[in-house]
Amino acid sequence: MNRFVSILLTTMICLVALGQFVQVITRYVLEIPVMGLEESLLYPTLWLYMLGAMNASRENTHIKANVLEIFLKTPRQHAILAVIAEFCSLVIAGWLTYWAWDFMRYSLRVGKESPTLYIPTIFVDAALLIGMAVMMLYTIMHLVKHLKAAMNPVETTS
Amino acid sequence: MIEVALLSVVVLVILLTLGVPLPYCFGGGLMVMYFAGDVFMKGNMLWGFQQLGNPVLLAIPLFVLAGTIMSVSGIAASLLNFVNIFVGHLRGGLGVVATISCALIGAISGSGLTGVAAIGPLLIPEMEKQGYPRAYATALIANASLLGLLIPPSVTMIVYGWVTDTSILACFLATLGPGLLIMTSFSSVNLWLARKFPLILAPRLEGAEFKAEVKSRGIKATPALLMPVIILGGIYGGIMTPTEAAAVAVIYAIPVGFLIYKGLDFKTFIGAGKEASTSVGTIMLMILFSMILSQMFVLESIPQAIVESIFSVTDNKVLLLILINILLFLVGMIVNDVTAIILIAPLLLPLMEAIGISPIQFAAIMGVNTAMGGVTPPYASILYLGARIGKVPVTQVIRPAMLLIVTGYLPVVFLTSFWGDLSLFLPRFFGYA
Repeated sequence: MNRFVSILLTTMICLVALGQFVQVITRYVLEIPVMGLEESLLYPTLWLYMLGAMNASRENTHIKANVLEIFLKTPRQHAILAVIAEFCSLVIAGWLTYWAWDFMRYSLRVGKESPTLYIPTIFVDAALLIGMAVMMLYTIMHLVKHLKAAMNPVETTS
Repeated sequence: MIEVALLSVVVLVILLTLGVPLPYCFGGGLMVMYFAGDVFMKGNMLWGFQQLGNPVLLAIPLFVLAGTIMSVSGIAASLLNFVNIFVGHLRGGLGVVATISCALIGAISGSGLTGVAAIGPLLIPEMEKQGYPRAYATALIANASLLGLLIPPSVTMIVYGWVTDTSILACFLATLGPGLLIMTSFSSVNLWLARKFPLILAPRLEGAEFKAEVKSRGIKATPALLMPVIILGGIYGGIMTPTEAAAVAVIYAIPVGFLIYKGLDFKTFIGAGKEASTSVGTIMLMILFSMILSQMFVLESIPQAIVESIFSVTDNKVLLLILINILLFLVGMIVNDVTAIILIAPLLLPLMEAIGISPIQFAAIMGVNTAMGGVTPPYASILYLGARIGKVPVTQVIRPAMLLIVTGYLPVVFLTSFWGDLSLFLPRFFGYA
């Protein structure tokens, strides 16, 4: 799984970089700009952002301040704090996923297409809903893990 | 409405304190605005997601990837060896090497992380071997690593320019003066402190031997030194946009890493790609929600309300600048650089303009403050990373780090705020201000 994710993410980010590089070469060196290249790059770019965020949720490496954690001593206290944080995250993630769904419904209803290549924008708009839903699922998994750790003080939390 | 906005910020801070991931902290702030402030959420996701597709923001993942590739490819060693030949033999010279190398890495990566990640593992053990206290070496490299946010290109300045609609090239130049001043300050403080360390100095090379070493190490460092030339030359030569320059940097870094420095192989390359993408994902999700929250504040005229409230208390420019710097210092203590900029810049910019501070000078003020925020606990991500790399307890690193903050960052924060030419000279010189 880890290897698959690594290859997928590396491919995506390299694709985006290569697309931009091709744009530089065609626009400034060959002086024959490729029509629609910029708008077609939007699709892997936004998917890259959301896949990266999903992977951060999988690895639990989203940026956190963890100020309170400094003052806590025992693993149980840490686990309880993590449960509270994950519960808050879950509520917020659920609410944001609802609005991502609202956005997706709007996108489906309007049926917008990209201006030059006529690629349906739903292919990129779906990334937000899928990303938010997957991140919510990972939040549930982390919550369960921390709940177990809070109920069993011997275990430590990550 | 200002009460609801304040409540939203309070909830955001509480969620941060609890350890909720930053994107969800902003989501919590949005929930408060929606439920308590009757602000419409409909359409905001659409607006925010469309903003995320802005080509300007694409520079962020590309610079992050270029920096990650360069940090694992062995570029840092070649830069260190090259700088070391000029100052390595001086008492305290290795500390200066660390500082200048971090600045050079900053001119490639645009982030504060790459310096500590690339220079730390190489130089902390070397400095300890020469007689520097390990905690001090760690603190110096962590502090100097943040020069990456001030020496162009800089991810934080891309974000600042984008959220405040200010020329990104002007913002890059605005932080260069303060960045170089901090670099000089760290180097001087290091030379002064080094008098007390029991250092074993490297032998001084002279004559033909010196010339041969300069040539040999110079050739090895050339591909690395060419990178900032390509990036900055491309941008300021008017050839490429920052995003395109970042893409060229990535395409340049890959063969350099694989074939010249040979630190890259398939495994490390895939690892670097995943690491960069994940960092980008966390940053972009945070940008999405913080941007929507910031937009809500702007739509509800919160910045204007702040200006009016503050002006009802005082309109003294000096006092206001001091208060704003204290606020930025406190914000830097609890959130990271990009977050601080997205949240604070649109809110405070009208106030700054009202007291005669241009958006370009404010870019430099925010840049220096947010850079300092990376080493001020409790949220001192770069300091903690440095401590982890240096294998030193954080508690031991804090004291020397504070010394460097007081002697390096604080005077420059003061100068940037009260001496406009420090940040405005270069943008004016190049015709951006």
